[in-house]
Amino acid sequence: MLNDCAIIIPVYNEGSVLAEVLQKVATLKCGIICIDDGSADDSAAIIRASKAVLIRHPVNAGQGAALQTGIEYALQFPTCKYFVTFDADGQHSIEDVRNMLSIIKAEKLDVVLGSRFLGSAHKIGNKKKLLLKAAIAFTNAFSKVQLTDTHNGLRVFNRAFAQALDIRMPDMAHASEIIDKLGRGNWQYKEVPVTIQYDAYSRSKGQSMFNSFNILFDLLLQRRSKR
Amino acid sequence: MIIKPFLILLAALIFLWFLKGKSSLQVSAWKKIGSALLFIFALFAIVVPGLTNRLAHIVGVGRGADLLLYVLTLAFIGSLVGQYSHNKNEHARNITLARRVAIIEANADRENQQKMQQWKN
Repeated sequence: MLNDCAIIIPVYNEGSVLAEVLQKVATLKCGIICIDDGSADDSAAIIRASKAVLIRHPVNAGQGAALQTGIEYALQFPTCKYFVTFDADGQHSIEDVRNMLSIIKAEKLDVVLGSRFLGSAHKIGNKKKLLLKAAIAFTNAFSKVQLTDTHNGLRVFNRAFAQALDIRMPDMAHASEIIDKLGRGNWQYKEVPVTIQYDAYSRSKGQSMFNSFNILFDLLLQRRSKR
Repeated sequence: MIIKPFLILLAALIFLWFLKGKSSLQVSAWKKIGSALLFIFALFAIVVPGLTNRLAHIVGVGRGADLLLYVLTLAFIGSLVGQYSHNKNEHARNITLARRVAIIEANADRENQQKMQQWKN
């Protein structure tokens, strides 16, 4: 018997760490939904061998699209009341997920966001820190909500917010898009300190400084087309 | 001038190519009218080169060739931007399609059904 939450994990070429991450996630006794976003490595086989459901994008569609697919899949199950987005590279801690789930249930919130700047980020590089702070300043300037960490992959939200979400930004810009959504409705939300484990692996998978210009550009274009 | 018949033939071929293209049904009537006007203008410009010169003088440009260059530059940039936005829309459509296919496949998958069975109760 699984409980009433779904862990949604977008996967793109994470074969080297995925098995270990999925094993840890399985201790939560939640439904685990992995979206293989067109990986070229053995990620799909690892997901198959685990307790996680495997959804395969026929082509690489981006992390935002993968999250949206996972959310839509989970929404098909009325049992599922809480949705957790979780990164496949092992930088999030299971303890934080437990904590966030108990907070969203106890305080009857719509959204609980993880923040690495409220908590303790291990081994975060200066360049990465600068990039993240810039992303936070940008997102806060454009949306009504004020957050300490806007690009954290660890989020918990309820069914109502999951149904309202319609992620259109394919790349990392989806993080700002989710915050934007949060600012547009009357959602009850809270930031919770989380720990991020940065190791050589997750650093190598991180966004380059250059790519942040792409994200900025896409978001600005999207804002214009909305009006 | 020996070049004129060749230019006229080429312009006519491009015009017919556009009209007979596979996508001609999807191309709006306005675009067809626009291309017809463009073709007629091209014919005049080829047969009576002095025409573009006079047109240029009217709008305050020195030579007809300069006017053509300006118009061509703008048309090129406009077509680039149009292409960019068209590509973005296509990309979004592809992603919607890929996501739909992925969910249908995942629902039909036996192993997934077994894994999710205990979640349904």
